[in-house]
Amino acid sequence: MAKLALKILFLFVLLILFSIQGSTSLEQTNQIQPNQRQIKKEELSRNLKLNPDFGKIPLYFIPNQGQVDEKALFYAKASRYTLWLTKEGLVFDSTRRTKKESTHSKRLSPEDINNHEDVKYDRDVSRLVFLNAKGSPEVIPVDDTEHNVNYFIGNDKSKWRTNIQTSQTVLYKELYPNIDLKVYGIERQIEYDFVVKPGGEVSDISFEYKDVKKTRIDKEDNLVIETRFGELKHAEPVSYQVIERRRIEVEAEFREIGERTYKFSVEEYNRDYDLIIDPLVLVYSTYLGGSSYEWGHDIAVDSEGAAYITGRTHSTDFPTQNAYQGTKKPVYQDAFVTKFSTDGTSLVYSTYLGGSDDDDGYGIAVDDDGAAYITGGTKSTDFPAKNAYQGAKAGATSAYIAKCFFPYSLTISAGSGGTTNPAPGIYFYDKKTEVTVRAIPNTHYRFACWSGDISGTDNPITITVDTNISITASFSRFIYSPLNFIGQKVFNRSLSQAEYINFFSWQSNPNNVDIVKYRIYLIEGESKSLLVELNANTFQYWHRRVEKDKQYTYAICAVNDESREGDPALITVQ
Amino acid sequence: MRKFIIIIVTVISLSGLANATDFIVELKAHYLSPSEEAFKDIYGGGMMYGGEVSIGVWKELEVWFGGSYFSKKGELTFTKEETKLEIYPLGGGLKYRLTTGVFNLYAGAGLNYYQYKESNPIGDVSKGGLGYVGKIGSYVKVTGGLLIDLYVNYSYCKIKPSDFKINIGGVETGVGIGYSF
Repeated sequence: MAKLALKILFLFVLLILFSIQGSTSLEQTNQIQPNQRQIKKEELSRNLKLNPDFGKIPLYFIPNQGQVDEKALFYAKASRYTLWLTKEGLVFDSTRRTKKESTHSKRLSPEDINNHEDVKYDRDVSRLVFLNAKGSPEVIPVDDTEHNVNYFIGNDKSKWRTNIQTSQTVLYKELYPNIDLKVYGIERQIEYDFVVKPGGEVSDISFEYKDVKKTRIDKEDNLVIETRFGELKHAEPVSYQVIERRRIEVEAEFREIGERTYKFSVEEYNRDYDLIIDPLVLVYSTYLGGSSYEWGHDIAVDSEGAAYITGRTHSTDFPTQNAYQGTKKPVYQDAFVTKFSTDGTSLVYSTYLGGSDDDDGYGIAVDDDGAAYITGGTKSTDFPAKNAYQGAKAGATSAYIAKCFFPYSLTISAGSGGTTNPAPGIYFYDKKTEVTVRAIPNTHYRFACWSGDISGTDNPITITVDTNISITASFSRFIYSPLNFIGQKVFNRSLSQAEYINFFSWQSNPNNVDIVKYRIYLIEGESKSLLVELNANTFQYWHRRVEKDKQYTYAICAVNDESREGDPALITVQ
Repeated sequence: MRKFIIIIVTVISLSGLANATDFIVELKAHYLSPSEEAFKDIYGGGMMYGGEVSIGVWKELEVWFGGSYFSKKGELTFTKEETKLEIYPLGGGLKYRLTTGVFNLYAGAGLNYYQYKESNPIGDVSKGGLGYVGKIGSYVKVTGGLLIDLYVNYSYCKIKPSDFKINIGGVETGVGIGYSF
């Protein structure tokens, strides 16, 4: 039972990963991230070419040869977490990256990964600890991968590690007497199987969750783990034996034996054969259908982890969302295409696909741009064809292929004082569409900056729509220079004292509003120095004790209530 | 300043020859009409207040010494900012008095040391300079030793506080009230 619990813990961690952006590791991990990331990128790239289902990419486990904390025997890095395999158990190390709050913040991009100034980290470490297990089990790699990794850390070549062989699986041999634990996984899910060999006792397996908020067994006998990053649900374990090439199911369930401590409970089984206990971690599970009949025929997962499903439905109230075809004809069945959000809690889109006769969706694939390709069969003569290679059904039934793409939105807003081209509103574009947006200030205004998901002062700005983006053009009231800025050198005296002064006068610009003061600068060569700040009701000033024969240049600027300075008016006084 | 002190000492020495009955003490007030155009523009004329002592030294010849005070506010020529001037003339001299009944006409001259102070946004200046004064007038006997002095003075003091010279004197027209011992 304890071994089963260990499996569950692994699965919990995987679930956490779903809700976590990025990851960190133990103390030395930061040093190895670039290498790992590079390898991961290459691997992802290769896998994506073969299979757009990013979520199925196998994890590879890296043995610790001194490049990371000594407590780790092996570790695996997924895009959103690091799994550390230690003698005592499994450590799930997740870090959620978020953008620091800023009025001109950029959208978090891959380039931000190492930008610690703009990104803040929220870390969560959960542990599954083997209880009463062998103190120092033999932990060995199984199923080598084709990847070798290198670590060049620092200038000390003795600390460099090269050609480290990685594996798809790590095996804890004899974790309990006659019980092995096998750890493996794919990008978004860690699997762990307890293998109870003849002579082993399931009751020996026990495990405890540490550093989690809470654990419980719900009404459906699922084990629920609450972490800071979310709730993980481990469905009641699947347990089976393979006897004479036949799979024999064995009833199994979690059993709580203490606070956050569990065992497995299994029904009687054939003790002459291995028993596999495989906890199943469910990120989500949901019905999808209306009041009649539905069948799901195929599923695909995109690189974000969102699931796409196609099948057929008889329901006229099948749940639709952002539908291309929001209704169906009664009686006959239609195909449907549904995209779930990554957490499975909402529909990104869901649409009927069919005409006035029977239609069905058999297969679906997703490319790395998030477009879904559906194939199926149709009897309808009015199947919703678009940009069709073959615009009409030829026989009784025709195959069809359809490409569904839920476009990304570009939300453009404009602050007071201007508008944009395209006009403010919500626009939808295919992924990677380049859109040029120009900010157009009203009279007496000028463009200030872009804010929102993208910041900057370029105008126009070209945006590559690769996710939902929201931007706002901000404008500021133009501050005009004061009018009739004139000056002259004059003689000023009392009875016994005298001086030359440069006297200026100016007028307010009627196009200005909210002017609170004027600033006068003395320009000397390339530099300027503030001579005086005057309130907005002052329209003259004298610069005292100037030299009689020297030429002076001055600039005057109006300043508004936001301390923003307008364009200067210049004058030279001889 | 040294020159002025010598003059004062001389006057006081001469006063030692005085007949006790030819001793006049008076308080004076007169209006200064400055000669300098800049003075006129900036401050205009103004009242001066002071006192004087006259001592008969030989026949109709008298020694006098006295002082006065002038204070006035004005405006700088361009900026029209406030400026303040104070003048303290102090000096002495001789005058000749004709005793002809009720009216005793006199004329005289002397030296004054003019201490002045001017304050305004351009700066503060405090300096002094030597000038001269000429005076004519008449004592009018009222009763007993009481008398009234009607007089006109002309003063001149050219000073150079900056890179230009100014005359801080002018015509002083005034009246005094005194007592003859």
